[in-house]
Amino acid sequence: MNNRIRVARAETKMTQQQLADSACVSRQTINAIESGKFVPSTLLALKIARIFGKSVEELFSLEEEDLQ
Amino acid sequence: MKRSYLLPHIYQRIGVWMFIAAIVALICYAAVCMIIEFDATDPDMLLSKRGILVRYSNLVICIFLWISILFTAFSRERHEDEMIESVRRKSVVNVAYTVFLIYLFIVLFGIISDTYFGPVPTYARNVCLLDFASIKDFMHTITDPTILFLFYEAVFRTRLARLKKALKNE
Repeated sequence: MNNRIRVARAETKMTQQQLADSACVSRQTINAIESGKFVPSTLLALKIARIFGKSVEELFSLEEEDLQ
Repeated sequence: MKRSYLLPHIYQRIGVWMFIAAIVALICYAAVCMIIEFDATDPDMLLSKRGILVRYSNLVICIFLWISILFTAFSRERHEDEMIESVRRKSVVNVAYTVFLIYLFIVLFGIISDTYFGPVPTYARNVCLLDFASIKDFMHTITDPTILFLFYEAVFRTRLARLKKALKNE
């Protein structure tokens, strides 16, 4: 799964720690999500999307291998 | 408000210190048993005051050890969130799966070797450690709560360390 969280953070000049605090998770979790090592739950994905004022689909997208 | 079944993080530190104290106590207990030449198979020694004291000391140390492992294994991390919970869940599944496979393998091996190969020749018996009596002991050992909790803690900490290392390298 791809995500554009890093891009969204850069646009809003937000650090990982700030995003983590807003989403009530650790900075490590945000780092893991951005690097694709962890897939967030629906709840967390919705929280992150709300923080950036975007939809979940704008931030997360499926890859071909996810569809198999 | 989300409820958590885990103990507060402070219990992890308490558990670690209790574990260290229990290990030290266990070493001291073993040393004392060696010094007084405690023989657990001797009924006279078991029923003597010294024997009773040794047995109850052993029990107290074991309970202390179990509680310390319980505290360490079932307390929250400093930053407990869904990623840590995910690692925790996978660790529990890993441990259950591994222990069950070992259990199954040992039982099947024991049954098959006992049924189809009959009495094991002496030279093989010296090499093969798995006669039926030791199989039961081994099964009892791997399903002991202490071993299971320690195994879970080892798997959980290893997974967490590997994840942190992978994130550092990014």
